[in-house]
Amino acid sequence: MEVIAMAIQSMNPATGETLETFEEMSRRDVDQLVERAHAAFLEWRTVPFATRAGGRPPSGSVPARPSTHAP
Amino acid sequence: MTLEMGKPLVQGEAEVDKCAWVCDYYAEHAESFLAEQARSTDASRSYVRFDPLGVVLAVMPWNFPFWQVFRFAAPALMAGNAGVLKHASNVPRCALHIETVFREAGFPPGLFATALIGSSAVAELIAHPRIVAVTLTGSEPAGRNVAQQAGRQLKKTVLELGGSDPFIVLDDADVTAAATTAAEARLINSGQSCIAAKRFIAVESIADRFLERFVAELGARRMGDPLSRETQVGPQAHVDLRDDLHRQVEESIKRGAKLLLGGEIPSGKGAFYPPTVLAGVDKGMPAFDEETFGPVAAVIRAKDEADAIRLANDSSFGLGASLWTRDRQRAERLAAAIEAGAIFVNGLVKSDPRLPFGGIKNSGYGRELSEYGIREFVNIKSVWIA
Repeated sequence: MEVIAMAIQSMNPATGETLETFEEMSRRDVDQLVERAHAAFLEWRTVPFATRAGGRPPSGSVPARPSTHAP
Repeated sequence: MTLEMGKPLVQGEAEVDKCAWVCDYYAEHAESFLAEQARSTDASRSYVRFDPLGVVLAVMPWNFPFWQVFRFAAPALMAGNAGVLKHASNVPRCALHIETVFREAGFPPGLFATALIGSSAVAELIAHPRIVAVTLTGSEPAGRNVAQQAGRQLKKTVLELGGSDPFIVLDDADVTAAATTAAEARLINSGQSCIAAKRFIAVESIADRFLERFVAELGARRMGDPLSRETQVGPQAHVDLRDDLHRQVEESIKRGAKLLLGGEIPSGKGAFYPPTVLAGVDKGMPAFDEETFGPVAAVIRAKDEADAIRLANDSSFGLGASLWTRDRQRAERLAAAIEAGAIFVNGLVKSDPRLPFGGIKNSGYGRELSEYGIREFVNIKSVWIA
């Protein structure tokens, strides 16, 4: 796994075309985002598992979906 | 995904399907994995409980831009944590899309959020008092950096780093099946996978047969437009990475490796690199010592079983290993001797939500997936009542 140091940029590697460039979030934006995540956590930690799972199918009904395309 | 990092479309669809699988898996099993465990002690009642930690920072790579994130997020959120994603700088659209997926699935606003920042801003984020732990999938240097920064803050890390997985073919292997799977194992994600097989170690008696078949298999794979459903090998994610890979190939040849297939940068647009085979690879060559993050296979001859295992373990990495033999007892004996986080016998190394995933040595530490993965980011709390 290699490191890429570059701007936050979508670039199509098949063509070299730049799709979109994003501006980095400011320190303040990031701080707010982390504080919001923390506030959400304080609620979320009290939520029962079944609600966290969002009404998924009952036990034993989830089929395996093996794939070689993801590590 | 295909537009941003070049993954062939069909493989991208399979990746997304696997993300759904890991979500379903933890939706179903998280509660039992984190259920209180009673312990008999001198207390009138004592037990272990698993409480969430808080906001976990995930530093993730571009190669499986959806799967790497869901492999962390599904168990972490089901355990009751929040997640902040710092994705690789070349996949911002994927990163923002994943945030949208969580929001649209009904998770509380802000519980899972993408921070669009560069690598230089990560240290500060790790130091943020609300960040309680860090998980990183990425390169060995990135892992060292993050572990150092988190260490200064005494914050827990889970690191899933590179690999130089051996693919060991013994004298009693089904050589045809091994060669076909070997080609597939090397070309996962156009070769850009931590658990793609990279060093192909074949014992002397079957090495020629294996090599002939392996080269034919790799040579038959279709490279081209990743948006075409026929394409099996897409471009590399970035021209710089492709050029790095080519340097590893050229340097290995200079040091005595023999080029049997590929090895040339195609003319035309894009970061393409063809399936490439280097034979006679040995220690001291980049193709042996370094992780080759692209469709380059290093073939190494071993004298016998013991030599094959010695070569397999002679790596700074220890992520996965694939072993080919028809003898089950032999396989299980060698599974104990191979230094890696996972051994797949007569198959290619792959992750599965039901099995723990992670490495040893410079491939990192900690585990993802299964009950082990969900217990990485929880407070394992003992309760003792007199």
